This record gives sequence, C-alpha cells and structure tokens, in this order.
Amino acid sequence: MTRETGDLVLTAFNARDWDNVVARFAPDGLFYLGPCAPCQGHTAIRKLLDAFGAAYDIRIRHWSHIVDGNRLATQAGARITYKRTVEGLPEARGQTIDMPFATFLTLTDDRVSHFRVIFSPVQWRNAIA
Amino acid sequence: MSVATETDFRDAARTACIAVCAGDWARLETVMRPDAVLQITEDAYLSGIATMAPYFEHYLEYYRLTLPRLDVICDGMEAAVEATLRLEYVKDKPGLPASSGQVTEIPIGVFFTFAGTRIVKGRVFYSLDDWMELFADPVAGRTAGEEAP
Repeated sequence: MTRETGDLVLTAFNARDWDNVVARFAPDGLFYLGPCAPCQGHTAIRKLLDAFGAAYDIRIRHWSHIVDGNRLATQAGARITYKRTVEGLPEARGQTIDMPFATFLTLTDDRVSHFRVIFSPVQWRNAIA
Repeated sequence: MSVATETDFRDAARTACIAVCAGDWARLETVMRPDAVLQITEDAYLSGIATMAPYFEHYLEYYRLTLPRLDVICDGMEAAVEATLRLEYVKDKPGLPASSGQVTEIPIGVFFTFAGTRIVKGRVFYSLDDWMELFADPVAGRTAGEEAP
C-alpha cells in the first residue's frame, strides 16, 4: 500500500490531477515542499499545487522507492519548465531544468500524513536567471 | 563471512550520518567501504573515504553539525535517512558573516546502497537555501549563498 500510494501521488502529479493528489492526504496531512512553509490540510495543499501548477510545468521523469512499513523514501528527478512569471523571479521564457529531489512519505490509516520534498532551489534559480 | 541483517543496515546508516557529523572517519570506515562513492546534491561527487574526510573537515572547521532527529527507512540492501541537521556556525568563514552563534535546523535526506555489510554508495539531498538561513538577516543576506556554504 505504501509503495502504491507513492506511485499514485507521483503519477497523479504528472497528470496534474490535483484532486487525486490531495485525496491521498489525510485531512490534517502535512506537506513540506522544499523551503516553502509547510502546508497542512487539503485546502492548503491544493492551494500550493495550484500555485506551482500555474507557474511551472513539472514532469517527474523517474523515481525509485525504499519502502519500510508505512514509510517511503524516494529518489526522483523532474523536468521543470518555467511557463508563467512568478513575482520576484525573472521573466518566464520557457526555461527548463532537470531537478533531482528526494521525498519522504508516511502513511497513517492509508492516507499520507507526512510528505516532505527536499531539493535545492539554487540550481533552479541559476537556470532561470 | 558475516551476513548483515536489516538491523545491521539500519545501524550502519545511522552510524554513517553520525560519524560524518563528528568527523570520525575511523568510525565511518566501520560501516562504509573505503572505496565508497558519495554524491551531495549536484555539487559534489566524492570517491573514497580518503576524499570525503577532507571535504567534510572543511565544513566541520566552521560548523558544528548534529542530528537531533534521524529516522532510518530500510529495504533490502538500501536504506534512507530522513533527518534534521542542526547547524551551528562556530567560526568565521571567509566570505560569510562573522560567527555569532548562529544556529538553524534543516531537513536532509540521505540514501545508502550496501554491498556486503558496508555502504558502497550514498547520496545526500539538502537545500542550500535552508542552510543559508543561518545568515538570513537583511545585512548578511545571501551574498555568498549561491556558492557552497
């Protein structure tokens, strides 16, 4: 179930099916996306996904899991395209970068109670500068 | 030849992280092969403990590193560590603000692959932005933040 949930979240993300992604989370599930402030609950997570989805086209191109009971650690890589200018960042001109990242997921009662994404935005900022 | 158990792999993953933070290379070698390779984000590719030691000692000269939280996820010959790394800036580093006891905590992830009973490959994920929060006041800013800290 843990591996399948991880696959489902990442695949639904690629499909930009935010409803499906959010539905995997517990109502009070926590989502830590890099250096962003943590989001808790479906509404906050959906809002973050909407914001990222509006500015970026993100396709997770590969991933591999380590599964341990209700815990899942994943190494992955995404191709990110900057498609709409974000305030405070350089103008979007379709800049694209391949970004490695790691995720850590915990399932509680078959729902994601904790999902952390670790990546270094420096590489991204250098690419869009 | 001894056969490693899952408990051994968990302990090895934990020991490797603690040994690096402590700069204890002899201890690291008890759980990592001397010819192991390590990738740190996209910044560094290190081959062999003899290469890793001076790389980390450079940081340990300026920062005290501890791991107040460390969870190991283990599956077969692979393990991952989800941890909180506590950084304390203890000595002025050229190009960075003066040390005044700055402290921050950042999330890190480390993935290990084992061969036999020891680690043969590791990969570290962390955010340089999180690290540079140590200096995130308007004066210190992030002037050196685009380089390895």
